Amino acid sequence: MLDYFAIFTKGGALLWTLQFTAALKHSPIDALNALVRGCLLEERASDAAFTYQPKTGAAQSLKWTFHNGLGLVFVAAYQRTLSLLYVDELLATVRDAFATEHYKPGGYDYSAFTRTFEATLKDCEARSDASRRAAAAPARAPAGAKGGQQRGGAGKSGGGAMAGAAQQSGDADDDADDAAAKPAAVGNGAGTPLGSSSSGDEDEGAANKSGGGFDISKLKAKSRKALGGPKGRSQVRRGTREEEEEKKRETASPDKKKKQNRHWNGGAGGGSADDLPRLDYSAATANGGASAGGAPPADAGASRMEDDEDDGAEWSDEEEDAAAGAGANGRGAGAAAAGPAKAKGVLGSFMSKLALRVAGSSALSREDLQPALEDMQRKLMERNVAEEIAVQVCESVAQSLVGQKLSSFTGVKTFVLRAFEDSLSGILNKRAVDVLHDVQRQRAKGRPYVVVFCGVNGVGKSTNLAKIAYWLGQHGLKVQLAACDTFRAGAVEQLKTHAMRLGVPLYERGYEKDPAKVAAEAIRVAERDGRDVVLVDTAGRMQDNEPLMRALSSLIHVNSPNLVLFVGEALVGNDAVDQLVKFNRALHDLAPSTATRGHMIDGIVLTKFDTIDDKVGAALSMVYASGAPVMFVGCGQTYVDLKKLNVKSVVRSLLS
Amino acid sequence: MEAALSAVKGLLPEAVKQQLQQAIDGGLVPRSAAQHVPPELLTPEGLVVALFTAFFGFILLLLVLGPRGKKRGSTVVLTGPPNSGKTTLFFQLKDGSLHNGVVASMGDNAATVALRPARGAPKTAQLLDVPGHHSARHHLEAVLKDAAAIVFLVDAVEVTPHRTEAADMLYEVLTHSAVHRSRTPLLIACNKMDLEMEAHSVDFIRKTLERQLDAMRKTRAASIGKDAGGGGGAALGPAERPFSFAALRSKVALAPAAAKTGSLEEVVAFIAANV
Ligand SMILES: Nc1nc2c(ncn2[C@@H]2O[C@H](COP(=O)(O)OP(=O)(O)O)[C@@H](O)[C@H]2O)c(=O)[nH]1
Ligand SMILES: [Mg+2]
Repeated sequence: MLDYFAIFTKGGALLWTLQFTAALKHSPIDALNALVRGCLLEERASDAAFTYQPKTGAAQSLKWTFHNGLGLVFVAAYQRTLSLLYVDELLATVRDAFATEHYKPGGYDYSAFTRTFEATLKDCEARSDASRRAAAAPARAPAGAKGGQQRGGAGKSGGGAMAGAAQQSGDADDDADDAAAKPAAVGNGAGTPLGSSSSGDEDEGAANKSGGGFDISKLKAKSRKALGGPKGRSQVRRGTREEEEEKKRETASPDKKKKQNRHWNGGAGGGSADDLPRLDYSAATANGGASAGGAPPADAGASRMEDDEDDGAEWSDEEEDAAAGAGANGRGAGAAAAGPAKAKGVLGSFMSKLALRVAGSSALSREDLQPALEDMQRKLMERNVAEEIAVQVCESVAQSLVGQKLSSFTGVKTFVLRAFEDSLSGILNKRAVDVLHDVQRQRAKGRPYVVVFCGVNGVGKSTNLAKIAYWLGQHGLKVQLAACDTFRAGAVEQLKTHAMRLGVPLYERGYEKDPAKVAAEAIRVAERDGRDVVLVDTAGRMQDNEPLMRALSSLIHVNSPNLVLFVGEALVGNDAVDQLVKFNRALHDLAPSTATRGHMIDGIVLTKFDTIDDKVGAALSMVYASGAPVMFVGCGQTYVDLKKLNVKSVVRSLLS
Repeated sequence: MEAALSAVKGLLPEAVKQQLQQAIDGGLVPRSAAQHVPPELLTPEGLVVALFTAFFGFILLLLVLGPRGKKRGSTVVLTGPPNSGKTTLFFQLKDGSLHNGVVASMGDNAATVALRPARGAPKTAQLLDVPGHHSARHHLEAVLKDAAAIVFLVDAVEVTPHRTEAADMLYEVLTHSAVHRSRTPLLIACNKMDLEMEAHSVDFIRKTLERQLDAMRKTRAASIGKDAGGGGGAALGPAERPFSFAALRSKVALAPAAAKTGSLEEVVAFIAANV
């Protein structure tokens, strides 16, 4: 059964909500925020569902659909252990009913919609019940209609009641950060609501530890990993859906009696002042802030090196127009959109359609978009974006475009192109760890800042490690290298040459030792000698080599570095996804203890960027697959050939 | 041309003057030339001549600026990190109500709103609430070009844990070329002041942000990609002195706000004064 259902504008205004479970242990608002920030804004709308792991309680599945013409989002949430077969149908039906019969631009009271919703839900449940029974147990008497009726009745009886349980729990901040750290607690029980202060604290902690930047997409990636990766999960979903559903039905049905309907926005008068406190999730935020924010900041400050100056500066005209256009579509003022064109008779509808087409404002259908989308997908793949990712991104953009209206005199092609510009920039613009700033902080503690470099063979790990050493040295930092590639012959000597040229000390213990121990000793020596930064070179390894992946995981576990960089070459195509997904999964799953689990890839070093012309797709693939930003770009053979990623020029290359 | 421009400045209606000022600030015309009023303009004959030149100057200016010049500087952009209260502020100003509450924004909210400042005449302003999420950064850059004024919201409760993020975004706004060039007025609204026990003071927030921006100015200058030059640094004032908002060329003010409860006197006054 559903836990809650929400309708809101793309601008973020809640229009209508209905909550069924009284004893929800998390705030629905938190889950919705996590969905928006961790999935929909990360261009992952093509995923089948989003998993939200509350701090306590069972993991939730959230499914959604858009009405792009009106700029609306519809979300249904239910316990992940239940695989409800009717949710997609429910979402589509509810969307169409709401859009055509209820939506009023600028309206915020949709209490009348509750009846329609309940009827639709009942319908969908009954149909799914019936079809399942027909398929699974043809011998048994069909009782689907009965079950549906029962549910509908329960729903109505509780309508309008408002419990404080869910409202007390949780803040409105970002969340899901410990989705990976905690094993997914799966339970059906109706527990006591969470106290308001506890949920805020963990966020603060996380934000502090990571030096301020929180990256939801990474968290999303983590939770994906926890589920066995996107592929594994979808297989599970498809393969065992039916049986699972059959099993769960029994456990779920007793719940039906306990179920209560609750509005987040009360019965009627959605805009009245009385309603405000009910949606007040700020108390928790406030408490969290107070506990974490008591001490004034003692640190010096921040820098972000991925921030390309070019980015903030001049825009060419072409870009300017594109950006303005994208504003009108992708991230456009959806809330302000006008109602759908109503057809009047066949001829009338034909005529108006014609007229609208001339005026360029008819709602786009999937068919209208298809040619342009295919074009885009082909282009992305030509630019070396991994196929899997090109498909996902295209699907996600498509979902945000279907139903939108063309502004006058804009062709579909241009419209789609602008949406892609917006979407790709969105994917590539990530908040990165602030290395120089974090080094200073660490220095204040009297400890060296430790960076581990990992990646497959021959991608340029040591070379780019040396470039980064040079860059750090230029900013007056004392660097030490650690040769922990005890695997490949010649690796230590290679690093020794770099160390000599750079004039920095190298810690090495030859080849026979355990790399994790070498790193630990190197860090100890660095601390003794007052070095600021330790750069740890590791052996290249193929992502499928389990013993070596385990060793890497152990090295990271033992030494808890401040930064884990993945070095990948810009030449890589479809393998980029596999590499990143498997490295991340290994760091997560193969950690010797669950306590430190989850130090995954913080950033990407993209090498050999000078050799690829406009085939810059690996940048997109790697960022999308890992959720981590490209922090350094290696673009040549000398120590100074290290750059930040210029998002704008990458986007331009991808789409030109 | 120079005389024409200064004459235009004196004689044309407010809106046009603003455009001209932007053109000047935008580097189309040397500032010193435009600001210096030649003495011959003070005589009646001079005025007649100036009127003519002004007319042609204006035509020329329109040609130079193109149609985009008109659009520029018409919206008040609400920005700031996620969860700082932008959307709440938007609806509070637009409807005086928060309706059913908010969730994280995926897209803009735009509306023309009527403002009744405590002092002075009622005004209307075009508000634009832009999502704070990093994926909308590209879009933020684009809309800042057309900003008449910027309200940058900071969560007064969460300043300390989120200071890097807030300063990061503020850095982006302050060093944005159009914001810097046209000296777009900026108000840092310290929001959620209704939570009296938890919220930090405006002064604390000012100091926190100043300290953070000071450090960023240094590390950004040291950041990789030497080709970039010191454009960003210049926007943040002289490097030898510690960073302070007061030392900036553009007007940057801080004020308390509570979007949720609607105590927004200073925000309303700021917007009204800049549209
Ligand atoms: N106590 C309090 N909470 C606020 C205030 N303004 C916003 N909030 C809350 O902060 C959260 C985020 O608000 P929202 O407008 O979505 O922020 P945005 O992401 O910047 O648009 C919501 O839970 C609001 O209720 C305020 O002035 N006081
Ligand atoms: Mg918002």
